[in-house]
Amino acid sequence: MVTVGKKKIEFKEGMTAAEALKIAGVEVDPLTLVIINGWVLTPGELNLYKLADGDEIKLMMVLAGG
Amino acid sequence: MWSKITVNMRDLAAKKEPLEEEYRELGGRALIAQYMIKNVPPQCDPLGRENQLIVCTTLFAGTKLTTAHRLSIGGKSPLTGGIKESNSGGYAATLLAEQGIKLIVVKDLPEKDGLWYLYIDARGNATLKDATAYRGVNNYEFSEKMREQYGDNIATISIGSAGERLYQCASIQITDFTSGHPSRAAARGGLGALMGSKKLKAIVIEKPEVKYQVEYFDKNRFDEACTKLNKLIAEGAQNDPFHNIGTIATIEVTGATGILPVDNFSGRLFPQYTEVGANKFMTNLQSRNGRNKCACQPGCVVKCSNIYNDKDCNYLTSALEYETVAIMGPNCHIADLDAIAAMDRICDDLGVDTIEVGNTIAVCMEAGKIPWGDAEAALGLLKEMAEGTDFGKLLGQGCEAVGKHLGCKRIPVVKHQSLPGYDPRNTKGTGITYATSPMGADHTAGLTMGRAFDDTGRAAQAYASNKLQVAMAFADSMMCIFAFAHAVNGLPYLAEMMAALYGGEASASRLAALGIKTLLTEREFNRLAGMTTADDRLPEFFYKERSAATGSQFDTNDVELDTIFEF
Repeated sequence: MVTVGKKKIEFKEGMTAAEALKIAGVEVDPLTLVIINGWVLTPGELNLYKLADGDEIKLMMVLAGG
Repeated sequence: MWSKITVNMRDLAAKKEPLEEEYRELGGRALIAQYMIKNVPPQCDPLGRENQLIVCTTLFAGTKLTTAHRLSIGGKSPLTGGIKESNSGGYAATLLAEQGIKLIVVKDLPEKDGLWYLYIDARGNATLKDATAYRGVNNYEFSEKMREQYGDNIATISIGSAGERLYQCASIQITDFTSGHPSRAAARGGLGALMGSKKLKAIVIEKPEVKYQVEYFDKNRFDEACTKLNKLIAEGAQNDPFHNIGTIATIEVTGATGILPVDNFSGRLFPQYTEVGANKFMTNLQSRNGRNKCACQPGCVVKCSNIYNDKDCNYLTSALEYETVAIMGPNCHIADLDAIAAMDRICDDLGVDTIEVGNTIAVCMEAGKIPWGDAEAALGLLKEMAEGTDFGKLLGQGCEAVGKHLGCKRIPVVKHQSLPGYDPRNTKGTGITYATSPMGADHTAGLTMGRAFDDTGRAAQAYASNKLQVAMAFADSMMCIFAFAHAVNGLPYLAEMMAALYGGEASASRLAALGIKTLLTEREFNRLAGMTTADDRLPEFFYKERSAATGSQFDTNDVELDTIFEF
């Protein structure tokens, strides 16, 4: 299983972060960070990052300027 | 009843008295606006006798509201020539609230040469003490000396040598609750120079023997609403990048969208932004025994602060923040996080605003004074500021002064204050805020970044700026805006808390009215100080040059800017 935000989806070998987000029905807007195992993915990395079974994709929105 | 301390530098006397009734329900930015319009002549010399340095807590100080212990510092800005409120975290506001002190005002100038600090002891006595031994001593050493003398249960509000030299980019530094270092800053607008002009080196506050008890109109009602709001904020913080990483996480958004300023707001992209981004930052923290999730004030649940160590795992700086990294990094074409952290440490120690100084370095690079991306040369400029060389003194006057001196055509300032880390061509509502905020270019006055992607229509951007400027004006009077970001769905709780603390109606319109009144008062102060609509404009190059990332120009017209505050 892979966790995307609060949803759990079935893991498939070779699945990318972008595919997992699509299956979970999550649209990532430019203010939302996609974080996997503590690592922030850039938008360009979403299609490249291969998931492992049990991975958790966290979605965190930047709400204010630092 | 809350107290007020009036320090008269001409008499070298400090007097403690009950706070005037008219300021009882105010705090932070709202209090500073109302105090200044009544007590500070708008046309006064910012470094002269008539200006006042104002230090205050928020209107929820002394309560259990998370992040209620922000410290607001105000006065007529030496940099902008207008009203200024600059707020900070740190430990000082907590101790002031425990002392029962809501407001400190510092008036007039000494008649003799010297340097003093205000000491508030554990029994609440306020006295001015001789600080000539600390002349030229910077903030880190000064706060350490104060701890040696008075113990660890103190907080300091101090200036470094930059404030003493009246640099217009001088900050006022406040000791951090977690690190104990003077790493929190009321940075913007040169208030450190105002403090320096008063010959006031510091305010040192001891933890009181007896904690002041806030008077509530209805304490049970307050506690009920406050508990719910704190819970809401704490839950929101769990999924907040600022809590889980730090404010530097913002780089991941701005770097990918062209909002991140690059090479003196050139509009270019900085593909290597991840070198100064969240992953690099977290890797360095974890491999060097650094820390994130630090609270700069007691009771904070957002905990966005951090302790950043050098390669040898020794403390380098604390709260390495997005603004500093953006402006001293990509905006100077620097992609070295350690070099930026080193610059941050020097700035906190000297007591200067990292945004103003970063932009000053960028215009030096644009003018060819030093090469783009040369971190060593940038550190060399900071060294000149610290040593007070002729050019160092000029650097201390900020981005506009240096840009004009070097013949730079592109100087990113509004009301003489340089822009924070968001390119206004790609977040136009923020550009409207930069242009029209009474504070000068200030991201905390109403950052509309989210709306930039939702609707790029000019009217929508103006609407977003207006709403957020009102919201930030009342948030800056109550709490930290990072916690406030999670309180947006809890405004009824905030309204309930206002009513339970001070009486009166519990309505969101009461909060909005506080924000609107504050903004209009600030605008009126600036008008009386001589500012006109011409001061509510972005630099011309933002209208003429396109962002390479989006092709966008800033296109809000003058009429739209001039009507932004027609409520």
